[in-house]
Amino acid sequence: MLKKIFGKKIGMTQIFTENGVRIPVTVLEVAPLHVLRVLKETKGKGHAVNAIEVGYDVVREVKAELQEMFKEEFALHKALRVKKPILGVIKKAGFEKKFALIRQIKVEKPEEFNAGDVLTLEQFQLVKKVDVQGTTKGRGFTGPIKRHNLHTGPNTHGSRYHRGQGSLGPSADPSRVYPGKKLAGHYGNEIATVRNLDVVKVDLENNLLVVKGAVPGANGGYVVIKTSL
Amino acid sequence: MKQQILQKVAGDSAIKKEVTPVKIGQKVKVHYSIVEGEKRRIQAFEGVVVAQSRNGFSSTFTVRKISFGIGVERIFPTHSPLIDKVEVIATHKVRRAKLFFLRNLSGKAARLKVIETRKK
Repeated sequence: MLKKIFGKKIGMTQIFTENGVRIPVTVLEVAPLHVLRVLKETKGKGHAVNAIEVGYDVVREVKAELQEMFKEEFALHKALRVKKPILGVIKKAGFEKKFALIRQIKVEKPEEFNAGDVLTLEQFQLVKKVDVQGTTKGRGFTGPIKRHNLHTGPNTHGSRYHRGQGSLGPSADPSRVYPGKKLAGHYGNEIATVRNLDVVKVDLENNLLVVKGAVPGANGGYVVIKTSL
Repeated sequence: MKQQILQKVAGDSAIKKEVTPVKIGQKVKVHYSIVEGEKRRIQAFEGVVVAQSRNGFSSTFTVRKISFGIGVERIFPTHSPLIDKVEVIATHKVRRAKLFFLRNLSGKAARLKVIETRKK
């Protein structure tokens, strides 16, 4: 059983219950995870934890005919556009695919998994609530008002002070700005987690997980789904 | 593809499948079920469709009526399973997509020209 799984945000919509209540939902697609390696806990050198290494979201595959056609000068790592050391790991598990993500998932019983397995939503330990981690939409260099919710100045009545943030702190003593001062800067494109989202629906046939509420990131962005504590 | 998945997810829920299409400016009678404890009864809301939000299964329409001299607007989800039925009583001639100008009018000024009435 997995406590963590990878997915993709499809988008938001709303569904009706039998009582006519509308629920805002986010649809997450959980495509199969390809087990590349099983990492068992070893003493001394090696891995400190039991984990499996998985590839998620197949972005490139090579057709067999193509390999036939260019038999002599065919190079799989070039066709897939994968670095050779990574391709070695993927080939060892019996796949010839390029994955968008290769990540490790901690597991309690690594014996349950074998390299070459394809895991779906069924292997995910489903509970009523999940945590979803995503990367928020990047907003670029942003002023302090949007970034830290500081107050604006008045827009009218002869005001010459609109979106500035005001004083940065005391003057001659200490003659410097305190560290951690809220200023303008890069905002968004950072990892954010939403906890305790209700699982509304599980569609094993289409690999869909429907949760109540919003999930960080743009549509099509990768998310990590974990069972809530 | 994404849109199709979203539509399917929304469409598989308990939505009302057969929907009477309403138009802006139509006088309609919406039979809406109200759950009071365990009882379920149907209440009618009759008025003019003043606005519509078209967004697949999330679409809504707004009905305006004058109740005891006070204007009341109610937004109905088009596909809500609580809507028993929608009767179209009359169609009016309108030139706008949103009839919010009716909010500032009252009495005789708030009338609309009828172009089609329901046959009895």
